[in-house]
Amino acid sequence: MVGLLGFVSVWEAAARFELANPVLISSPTSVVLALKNWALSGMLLRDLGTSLWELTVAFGASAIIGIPLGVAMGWNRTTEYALDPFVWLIYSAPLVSFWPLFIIWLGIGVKAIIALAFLFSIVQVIINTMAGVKGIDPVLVRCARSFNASPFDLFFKFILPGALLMIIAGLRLSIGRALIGVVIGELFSSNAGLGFHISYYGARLRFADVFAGLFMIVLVGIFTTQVIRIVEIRLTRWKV
Amino acid sequence: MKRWKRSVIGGLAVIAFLILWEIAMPLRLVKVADISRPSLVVMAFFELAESGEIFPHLVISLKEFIFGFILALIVGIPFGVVLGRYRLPALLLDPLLMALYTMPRMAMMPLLVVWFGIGLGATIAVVFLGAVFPILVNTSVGIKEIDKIWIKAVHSFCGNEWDIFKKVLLPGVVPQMMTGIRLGVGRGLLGMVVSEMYASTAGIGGQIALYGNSFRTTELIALIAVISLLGFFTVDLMRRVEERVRRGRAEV
Amino acid sequence: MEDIGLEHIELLHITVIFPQPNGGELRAVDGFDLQVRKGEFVTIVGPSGCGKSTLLSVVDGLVQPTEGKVLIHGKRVTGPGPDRALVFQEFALLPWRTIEGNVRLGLELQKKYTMAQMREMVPRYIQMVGLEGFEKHYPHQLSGGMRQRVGLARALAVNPEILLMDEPFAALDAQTREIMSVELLRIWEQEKKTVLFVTHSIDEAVYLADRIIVMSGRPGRVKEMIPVDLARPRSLVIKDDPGFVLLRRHIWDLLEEEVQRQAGGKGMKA
Repeated sequence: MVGLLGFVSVWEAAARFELANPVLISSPTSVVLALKNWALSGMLLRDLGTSLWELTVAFGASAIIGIPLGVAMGWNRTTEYALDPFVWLIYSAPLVSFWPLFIIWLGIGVKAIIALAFLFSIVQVIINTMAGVKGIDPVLVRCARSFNASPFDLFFKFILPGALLMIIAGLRLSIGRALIGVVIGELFSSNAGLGFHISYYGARLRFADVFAGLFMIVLVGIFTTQVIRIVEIRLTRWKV
Repeated sequence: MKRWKRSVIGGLAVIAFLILWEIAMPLRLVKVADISRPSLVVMAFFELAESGEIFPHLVISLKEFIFGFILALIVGIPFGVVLGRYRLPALLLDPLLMALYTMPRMAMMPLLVVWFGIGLGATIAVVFLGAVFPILVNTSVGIKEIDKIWIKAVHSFCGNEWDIFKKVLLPGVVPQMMTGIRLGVGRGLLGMVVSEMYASTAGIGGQIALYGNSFRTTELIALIAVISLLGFFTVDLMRRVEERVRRGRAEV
Repeated sequence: MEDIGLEHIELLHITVIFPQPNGGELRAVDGFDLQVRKGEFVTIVGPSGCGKSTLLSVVDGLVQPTEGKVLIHGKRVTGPGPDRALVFQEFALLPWRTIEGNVRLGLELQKKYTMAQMREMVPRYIQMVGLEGFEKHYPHQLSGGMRQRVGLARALAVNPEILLMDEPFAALDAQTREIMSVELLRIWEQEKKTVLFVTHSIDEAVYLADRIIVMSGRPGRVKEMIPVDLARPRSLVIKDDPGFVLLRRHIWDLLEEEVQRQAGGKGMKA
């Protein structure tokens, strides 16, 4: 906390006493002002809403598709081996390069942004889910088998609860990545959203507004991650 | 036995995918716009390679990446060591670092472009920002994880701070630092492409943006494939190096 | 006043108090007095948590006593020095160095020798602990007993007058422990160092020592000093000698007393 306060004060001082070009670095006070204007004009709501909407759809889709895929890969070796190259490719490739492709396929607009964010996010979900399922204590599986549990029970009563922790952690990480995807997409081409806000004001050299936008993004990031963190913690009550 | 199985099945899956892709358009399997075909993409790739068109861009991208990454190493490692070893700086700087870490540096693109200029400057900055945090954080974690008994041993044999640094900290931090470097490479590459695409200048990213804008799907896919494979092999290489380092020194 | 007598090491009323995070204090060692003669092999045995390791750290100069002082040849100890070497329970070998590199570590830190000189000096100590042929190996390739030999070689290499050994065999299995004890005595007879050897094992304490210091439970004090008259050189057979058995019995009783006292004397066996 001390560090942050120190940083903010140094920043303010630097601007006030013109230690660096105030136009370039702005100042905490002007950022607050920019935030206020943004909110009052109603644009904040619109931009926030747009970005959150895109985030939700992308994240939701990545969870709905990613978790079953991850489970399948964790459970069945063949599936894992087959899908592994693709997962690794998406994991290690700079995903932004797919952006123009999405534009061509889905046109400029919300769909392409959601597609990019989806891609950013799903990799993390799959990897974590797979690790979670693979990490199940084999003793538990043997136990389930000895009680002649049906595959259904085996999955829902033994595997899923055990893997849940890893899966939720994966969701926590992936929502952050989805946010990055949303922002990047909006940066490149959009007419609403937090990324758009930054791109718009950046082009006009109004840095206070840019910082305001950055601040909002960080806020959204922290908020969404924390929400999932709370879920994570409540579910870990049984762990030492 | 398993390794072999893994490669075979994986390979088959990739081949199946490519085949599907190849026949998708002629057979009207997809409704979307142009998705091209692997055969065309491969041809385009060779054309690009032959004409030499691609190389200057690759070189530029490489230069930007290396510059930014080396900078990240120069800043990240010493800071990581200090933050890992001494408590006071860590307490002061931790929240600040956390805040900077959560900030999506891509969102800072417009800022960086103005501060550092279009092209080389901004890209190096983004690469630096992307790589420096994993390197710093992992180095500091690596230092913290070093078994204190080694420090005590050097101390008991009359070693000073510098001895501890040279003989214990530096060798001891290597595995965790490698992890940080691997993560840094991935994030650095991403930053490089974003920056190049954003400012639409030279470099691979710039070319990608160019082809995208002119709807030249085949060349676009070729380039995407190139950079994706580049990313893939780089990260894979780093992962192997990391594993090697870890394996060569089981704990005592 | 300089006291240059037969005393090699003098611990004068050593008290070590550690402040606790909750504001209280932990008295690890309280008024510990001990004189050790040159070349003497002294073992220190006591219940868990009695401050034995802290004591060694104080003698080595790694920890400053809250009260009291340590004198070596009459001079006060203020920090680690080339006249003392510590052997650790957890071996403390650097995993990224070969055996040769590890043995060399102490010498490097003395900053007195060139690389060439050190390279020449090291083989003697590796041989002394019976590890010839393993110079290029890495710690993780060695068994526990072998690793501790490396630790010993490293300590011996700096040619200290005093060897401080902190439960060095505690991490080894029972048989290896016995073998190491014999080895240690063999080397000691050869090198004539003054040794302070801390241990949990009564057997070890009696087998190795010229004199046994039994420590009380926390806070650590000298409970009793017991000279050991058994003849040297000692083979393992001596463990059946009636003199040995009596000593062992006696120490066992003393320790039991301490453990009971610590547990509040409820009569439960610890």
